[in-house]
Amino acid sequence: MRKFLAIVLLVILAIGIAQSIGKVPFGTPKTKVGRYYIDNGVKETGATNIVTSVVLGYRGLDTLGEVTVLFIAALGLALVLFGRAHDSGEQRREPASLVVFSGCRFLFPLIVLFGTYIFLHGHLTPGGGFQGGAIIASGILLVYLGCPARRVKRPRLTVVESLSGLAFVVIGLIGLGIGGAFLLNFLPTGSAYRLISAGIMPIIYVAIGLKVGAELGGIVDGLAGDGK
Amino acid sequence: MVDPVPQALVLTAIVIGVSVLALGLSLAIRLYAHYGTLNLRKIKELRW
Repeated sequence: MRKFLAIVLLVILAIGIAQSIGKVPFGTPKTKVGRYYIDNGVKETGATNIVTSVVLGYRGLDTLGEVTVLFIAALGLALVLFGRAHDSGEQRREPASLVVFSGCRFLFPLIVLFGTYIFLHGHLTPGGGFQGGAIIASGILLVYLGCPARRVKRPRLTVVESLSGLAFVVIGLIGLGIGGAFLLNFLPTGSAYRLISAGIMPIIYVAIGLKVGAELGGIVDGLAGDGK
Repeated sequence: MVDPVPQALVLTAIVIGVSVLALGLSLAIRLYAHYGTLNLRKIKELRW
C-alpha cells in the first residue's frame, strides 16, 4: 500500500515538473545577473575566478552561512559520537600494506601542500577554500589509514578550526566598522592575475581552507574512533 | 561564457550535503551500536 502511494506521488511530481520546467527553453540565459557578473566581476572585485567573486564578493553572506552549517554538523557529529562505547577488543584492525605504510608519511606533506596551493590561489584559478580544505582532509584520512600511530592530534585540529572560523567573522566585522557593510572589501583590489589582489578574498579563502580542512579532518577523526 | 551563479550555489549545496551526510552517518553508527542491526523493521519490533 505504501509503495503504491509512493509511486502515485512520484508520478504526480513528475507530471508537475515536466509541465512547469519543460516550458523553459534549454540552454538560454535565464537571468541577467550572470551576465553582469561576467562583464563586471573582474573590474569590481579584482578576482579573475568569477565563481570566487560570486562566492566571496557578491554573495559572501551565503558563504558565512555555509561555514556555519559545516560547523554545526561537525559539532553535532562530535556530540552524537561522544559517549560511544569503544569497541577496542571486538574488531581487529588490519595493518596497512607496505605500500600504503611507506607512502603515507611521504605523501601527507605533499597533499597538504597541494591543498594549500588550491585555496591560496582560489581567486585566480578554479578552486578555493572548500576544495583545498577537502584535499587537506583527504591527507589526514590517508595518515589515519596508513599509519594511525602518527595521526594528527585532535586538539590541534580544534584550535585551527576555531581560530580560522573566528578570523572569517572578524574580517567581516572589520568591513562593517570601516565601510558600514558586513564583509565589505576594504583592501585595495589590485591588478588582476597577481597573487595579492582582490582585496580580502585571498585572506578569507585561507581562513576557510584551514577551517574546512581542520573540520573535515576532525570529522574523519571522530568517525574513526580510537583505532588502535 | 557560462553562468557563474549556479556554480557558486552548487558549491554551497555540496558542502551542505556533506555536512548532512556526516551527521546522518554518526546517527547510523550510534543506532547500530545500540540495536545491533540497521534493519528498520527489526528495530521497530524491539521497542525500547
